[in-house]
Amino acid sequence: MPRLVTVKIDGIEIRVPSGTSVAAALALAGKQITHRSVTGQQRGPFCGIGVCLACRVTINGQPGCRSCKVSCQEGMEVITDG
Amino acid sequence: MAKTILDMDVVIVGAGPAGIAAAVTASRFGLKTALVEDSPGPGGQVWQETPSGRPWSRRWLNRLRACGAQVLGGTTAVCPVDQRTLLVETLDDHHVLAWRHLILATGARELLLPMPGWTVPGVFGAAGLARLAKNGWPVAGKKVVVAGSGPLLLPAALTLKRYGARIALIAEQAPIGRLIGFALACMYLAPAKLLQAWLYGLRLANVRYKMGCWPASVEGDVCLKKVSLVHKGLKIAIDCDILACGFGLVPNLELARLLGCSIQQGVVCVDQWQRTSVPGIYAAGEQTCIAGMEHAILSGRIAALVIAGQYQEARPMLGACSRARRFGHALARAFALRPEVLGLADQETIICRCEDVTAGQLQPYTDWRKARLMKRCGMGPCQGRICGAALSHIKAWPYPTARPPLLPTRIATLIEGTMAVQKAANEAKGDQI
Ligand SMILES: Cc1cc2nc3c(=O)[nH]c(=O)nc-3n(C[C@H](O)[C@H](O)[C@H](O)COP(=O)(O)OP(=O)(O)OC[C@H]3O[C@@H](n4cnc5c(N)ncnc54)[C@H](O)[C@@H]3O)c2cc1C
Repeated sequence: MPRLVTVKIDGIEIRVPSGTSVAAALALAGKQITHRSVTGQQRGPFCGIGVCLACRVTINGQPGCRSCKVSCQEGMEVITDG
Repeated sequence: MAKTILDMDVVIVGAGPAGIAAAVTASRFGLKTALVEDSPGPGGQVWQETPSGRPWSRRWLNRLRACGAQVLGGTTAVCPVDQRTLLVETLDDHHVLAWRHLILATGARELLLPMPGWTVPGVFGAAGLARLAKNGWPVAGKKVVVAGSGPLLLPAALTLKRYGARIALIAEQAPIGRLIGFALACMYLAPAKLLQAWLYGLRLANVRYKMGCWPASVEGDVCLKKVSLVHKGLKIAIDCDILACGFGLVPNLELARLLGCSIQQGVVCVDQWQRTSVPGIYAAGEQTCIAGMEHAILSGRIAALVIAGQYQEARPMLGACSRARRFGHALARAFALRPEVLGLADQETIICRCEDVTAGQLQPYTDWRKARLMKRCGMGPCQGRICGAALSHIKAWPYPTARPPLLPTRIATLIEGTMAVQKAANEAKGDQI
C-alpha cells in the first residue's frame, strides 16, 4: 500500500496516495474545474503534461502553479479559482 | 540576495529517454552533469516512475541514480541569463546553472486542434490523459472516446483501460491505405515497433478501432456529454464522459528558439553529432525528430559522447540513429493530417484558450504579430504553445517568436538570477585586473 498524504483543497482535507499529482487530487476531491477563463468560462486540466497551463491553481500561496506537474506533499494547501 | 551559481560541465534540459541517456553517458567520462526536469522526477513521457514501471525504464532510471549526475526534479528551465548560464525555478526556489555544454532534450507535446466545444471540461490530450491517469487522475468507470492521430492513441487507450476507463472507440483520422503502407515500411525500419503495435492490438481486441474517422465537435456545458465524429462521410454521435484527443506530436522548441538555435521544418537543426547551429549547444530526442524512444536514447548518447570527445564510440551509433529518423519520417507521412481535421473550428470556436480568442476574431489577420497586437492571441499564460501549434497547422503561420521567460516566473527568480550572474561577471573582471 502506498503511503497516504493529506492535502487541503479549498479548505477541505483529503488523503491521497503519495505520488498523486495535485491535478489528480483535485479530481478526487470532485473538483474538475481549476480556473475561469478570461471570459468567465469554467476550465479544467487539458493537455496533461504541463504545457497548456489550464490546470493552474494556487499552491501554498503561490498562484499560477501547474497542478499536473506537482506531486501532493503532506500539508499542502491548494486553492482553485473554479 | 544574489545566489551562487552552480558550475557544470554539462547541463541537460529534460529528463526523458534522451536526457537520461545523455546524463548517464556524460557522467561515465567524469563530466560534472546536471539534469533539469520540470516534472517531479525523471522519466519524461515514457519512463516516468510509476509503481508498475517497465523493466527497461527501470534499468535506465537505476543507471541514472548510480551515475552521479545531479538530477534537479521539479525544476523548470525558464530562460538563459547570458550566453553561458541558464535560470531554473522550482516551486519555492531558483538556481543559476553555468554550463560549458548544453544539451536540449525537452521532448514533444501533443498537437491539440480546435473544434467546436473543445474548451468544455472533459476534453483532454490523448496521451496527456494517460499521463494524468498514471499520476492518480480518476478515469475508472468513465466512458472515453480516444481520437486523433498517430501510434500513441494505442498505448494511451491501453493505459486508460488499465486504469478502469471504458473505451467507447479509438478513432484514427489516417486512412487505412496509408497505415498499411506504414506497416510495410516498419518491417524494415522498426520491426520491434510492429510487434509492439500488434501486442497493443491484442490487448485492445474488444475495443472498436476506426480508421479514416475523426472527431468533429463536442457538446456539453459544465461537463462533456456527447462527441460527434465523422466516418465514411457520415456523422456518428457518442454519449460519453471524456474525449481524449491528440493529433500527433510537435516538438517543444521554445528553449531552442530562445537560445538562437536554427530551426527548420519544425525541428531543431542538428548535424549527425547532434550539434545545433549555436556552438556548445546540442539537441537530442523528439525536438530534433519525432521518432520515438529508440531515437531519443541514441541521439542523447551521441550528444554526450561528442561532448566527451569519444567520437570512436559514437560513430557506430550513427547508422541506427539515422534509421530511427527514417522511421520518424515514415511516421509523419503515414499520419499526415487530412484537411478536414484542420478545418473543424467554426466562427465561434475559441482558438487561443488562454485569451478566449475565436476563429472569427482572427479572420482579418494574416500573421502572428497582428493577431497578438489586436487580439492578444497567444499572449496568455501558455505563451502560444497550444494555439501556436494549432495555427501553424491550420493557417501555416510560422510559430510566434519565443520570449523570456518561457513560463510564468516569479519576479524574485528573474531579479536574483540576473544579479547573481552580474556579480559573478564583475568578480571575474576584478580578478583580471
Ligand atoms: C503525453 C505524451 C505521452 C507519450 N507516451 C508515449 C508512450 O506511451 N510510448 C511511447 O513510445 N512514446 C510515447 N510518447 C512519445 C515520447 O515523446 C517519446 O517516445 C520519448 O519519450 C521521447 O523522449 P525525449 O527524451 O525526446 O522526450 P520526453 O520523454 O518528452 O522528455 C522531455 C522532458 O523534458 C522536460 N522539459 C521540457 N521543457 C522543459 C523545461 N523548460 N525545463 C525542464 N524540463 C523540461 C519535460 O518535462 C519532459 O519530461 C509520448 C509523448 C507525449 C507527449
